[in-house]
Amino acid sequence: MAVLQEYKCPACGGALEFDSKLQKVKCPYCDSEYTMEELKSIDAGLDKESASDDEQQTQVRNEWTENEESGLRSYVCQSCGGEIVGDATTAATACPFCGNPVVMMEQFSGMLKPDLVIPFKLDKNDAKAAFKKHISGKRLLPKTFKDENHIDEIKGIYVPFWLFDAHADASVTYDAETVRTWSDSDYNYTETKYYKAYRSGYTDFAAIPVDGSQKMADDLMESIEPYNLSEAVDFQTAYLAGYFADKYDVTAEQSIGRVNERVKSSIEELFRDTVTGYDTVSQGESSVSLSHSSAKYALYPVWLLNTTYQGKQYTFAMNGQTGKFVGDLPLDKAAYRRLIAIITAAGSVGIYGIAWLVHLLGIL
Amino acid sequence: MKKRITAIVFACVLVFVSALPAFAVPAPPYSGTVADERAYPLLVDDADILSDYDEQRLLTKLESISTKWDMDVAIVTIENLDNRDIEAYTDDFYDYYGYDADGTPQDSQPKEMLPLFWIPLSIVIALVVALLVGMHYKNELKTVRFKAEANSYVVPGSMIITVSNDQFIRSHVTRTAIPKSNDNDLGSSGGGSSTHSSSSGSSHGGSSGSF
Repeated sequence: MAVLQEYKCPACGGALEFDSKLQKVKCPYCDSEYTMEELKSIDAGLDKESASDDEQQTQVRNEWTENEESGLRSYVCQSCGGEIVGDATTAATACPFCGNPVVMMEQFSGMLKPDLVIPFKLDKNDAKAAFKKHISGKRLLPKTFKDENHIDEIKGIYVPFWLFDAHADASVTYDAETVRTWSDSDYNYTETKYYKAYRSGYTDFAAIPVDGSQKMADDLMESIEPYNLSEAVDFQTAYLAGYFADKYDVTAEQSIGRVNERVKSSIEELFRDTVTGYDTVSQGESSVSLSHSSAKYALYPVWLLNTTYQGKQYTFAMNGQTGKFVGDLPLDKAAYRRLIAIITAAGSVGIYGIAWLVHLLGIL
Repeated sequence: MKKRITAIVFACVLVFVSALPAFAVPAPPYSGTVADERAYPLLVDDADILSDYDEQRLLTKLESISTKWDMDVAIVTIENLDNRDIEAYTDDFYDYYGYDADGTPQDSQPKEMLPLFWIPLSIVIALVVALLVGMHYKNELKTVRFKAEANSYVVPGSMIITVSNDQFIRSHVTRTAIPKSNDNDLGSSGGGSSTHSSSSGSSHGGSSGSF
């Protein structure tokens, strides 16, 4: 059952890895390079049980119920015979003994096969450089965080995403005001005119991604958006060689709520931009309905970095395509208090001095 | 740029007492030329109703007021008006004895202390600024956030507004009274004094009294 795929170099037998700079698979041992086209035959078996209609996605979860109790799966490394332990969603990893990259083919068979993959464009060194940049120039970051800093773990992961296309019909009412002021010799007048602006229409959204992995924090994944979908290619397991990958464990149906939220606020904002000629516009009632939602299954490249500071783990993520780097950093509370104290002290004296100066010049 | 106020403010107190005539300062002539130099001090106590000590104190005050307003503010006590009314006597006294009735107020009044509330106010403003700056630097540390919208996934040009209807509901007017400024009555508020022209043609103002 558990079929592991290794990508052996036809020239030397070494384990092949995807090279993000070349966008080709390369043998780290003999430097042979192979195009993705040449490796396509490996995936030949994947489509066999594949049914083309999307309806089957709902059934996916049932397949795994048998494994949910233990949550773990073990595989035997074909290179060294060592046991590779993964969880129910592990789809690509490396053998802990020999380090050879392996892909669990069964995690991509049938309807589990992703429709699209955006291959990694940035490598581990880019991620490290981005991390250095991320922690530099931050005034309130503890100095010791920078000095003691070492990255515990850095790994390139293909994260499962659901990509939703949606057609949204919306009707939104906005409360708008215009304000006019004028004066005569005795009074200042302010006239406020109240309007209701009604907008109805529709908008199409394409490929809104929703993180399909429970392991990945949703806010972290949304923070590294957007990905450029035009660089996506048809899925091929060879892209995963050398990276980690998970299969989804949140279904498309479970993800659609998040899409609705984001589409709703987007369309309210877009319609609001058409309410012009007023001084203030605030949103009133709104109704948004989504239709024709379809979901594609895609793997997006993410570099994940972990670091520990004072017993607490900090996770950083980098968009493996665009290089957008995010991750919350600890606050140096003492430095913060010092900053507040210094600015308050210097500012008070400064403002008081300016007030005196202005007073002496007779403006006040 | 020197704004001249022509004799709007000066004080002249004429005091009559029925005491022995002892003229030290003769009554001013009825007509003549306006003198350039002041002939007598700012305090002339011909009626001799003030003690030396009071005279000294009054004189000091008159000098400081006169310096401040750049005109001569004088107190004169006399025993009779030499057949003139008090206004004419005063005008002649000013004009022909060379008192300066043309005031040039200094550009700004002497400064009072900056109101005390500026101390806590400065601290509060600085604290607010400090917190804003602190928030800015704190925000640099926070980069993980949910995206509220999906704006980058809108299919370009796909937004169609089918109904667009702006309706006027009501309007509302409020008015606030403009506070009246009263900086044009510098002299006239001082106890009902007014200005007039004297025999020499210059303009005078002030008040007088007798007992």
